[in-house]
Amino acid sequence: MPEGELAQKILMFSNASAVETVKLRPEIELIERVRNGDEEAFGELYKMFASMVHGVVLARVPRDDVQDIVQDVFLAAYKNLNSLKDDSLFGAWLAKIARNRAAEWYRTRKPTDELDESVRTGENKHGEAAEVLRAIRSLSDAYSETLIMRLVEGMTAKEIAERTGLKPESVRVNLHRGMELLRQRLGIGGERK
Amino acid sequence: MSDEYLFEKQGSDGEIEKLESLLSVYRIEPVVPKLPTAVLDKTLNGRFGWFKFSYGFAFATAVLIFAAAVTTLQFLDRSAREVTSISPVETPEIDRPFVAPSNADQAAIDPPTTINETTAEIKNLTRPMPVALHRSRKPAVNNVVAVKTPRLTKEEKYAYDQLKVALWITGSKLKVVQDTIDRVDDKRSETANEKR
Repeated sequence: MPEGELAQKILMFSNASAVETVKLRPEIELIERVRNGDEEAFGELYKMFASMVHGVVLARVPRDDVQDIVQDVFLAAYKNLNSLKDDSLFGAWLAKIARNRAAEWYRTRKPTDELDESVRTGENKHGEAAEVLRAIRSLSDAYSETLIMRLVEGMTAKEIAERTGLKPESVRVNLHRGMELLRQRLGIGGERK
Repeated sequence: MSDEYLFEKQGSDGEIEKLESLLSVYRIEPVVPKLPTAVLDKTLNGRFGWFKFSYGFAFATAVLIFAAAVTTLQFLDRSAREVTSISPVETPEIDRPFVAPSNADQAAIDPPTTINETTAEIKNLTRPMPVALHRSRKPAVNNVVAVKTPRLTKEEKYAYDQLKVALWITGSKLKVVQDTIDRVDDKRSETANEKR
């Protein structure tokens, strides 16, 4: 095969591969648009990743402060977008920012006790929800984040893997084990198929 | 209960559905944050690093030009003082003006006297005189202040003109920088207020 033809084929293959990557990871194109000052693209990025960031923060921080921290995380990401070397790792990078912000919140907050959700609302359903959330938070970070994304935000395992940059197998393992532990904590039983 | 529902939300699982229903109160309410316009940090990428660098360079240049201008102006001023002779004029301060008594008043107070008596009284007569509270050692020559424009050589005049142009340019640059800073501050405060 002549060298020119080979080079052309390699180029075609690499171009096709790049197009495929963008199709699989639409955030890459959005990030580039944001870098060029497109605010709508930032809105789309927010819609795509807000649930994941919310899940990460909710696994650590009381509910009342979660929304503010989520906003801070996205603003920080927007400011420092150019420090991101590999755009395909945007989700993992964003999750890291969210974890750092949550840790920062604990460092800077005043020492107060969070009022129990059931006491605050006076509703039995919210009390149950608060109890379940507390049980989830008592698990390790890997399990609690994944379970909150699944049970609170309603994301599938595939979506969680895409957004966080984790492998789908890892997400499945985290969901499975986390669910088992949660059932133990809540005292609910049942054999899994 | 099935893992199928847990992983992909396909099929049904009463236990997980109940948990989902309970925890749905915590679900995010998506509100896209309003972006500040001038906040995108491009320094790490280096695309617009020159932009910030140019601001810094402009500021440093402005400071240098200002310092040079001040020094030059002081030098010119000193030269002008040496060339020009100015005589300071100090007007003596007077408490009140002297008013000579009229003849009629004097006649009403004093009876007519003889020439000798009058002469003796004139010797003892004291009258209010203007008093200078502060008198300068050098008497004033005249009331016109001699002001002469400094004599500049051709090179000095050229340097002075160049300096004026440089100051004008620096002033306009500084105004641009200040306006930009004000704009960024306004946006930040707006964002902070909206967040509150």
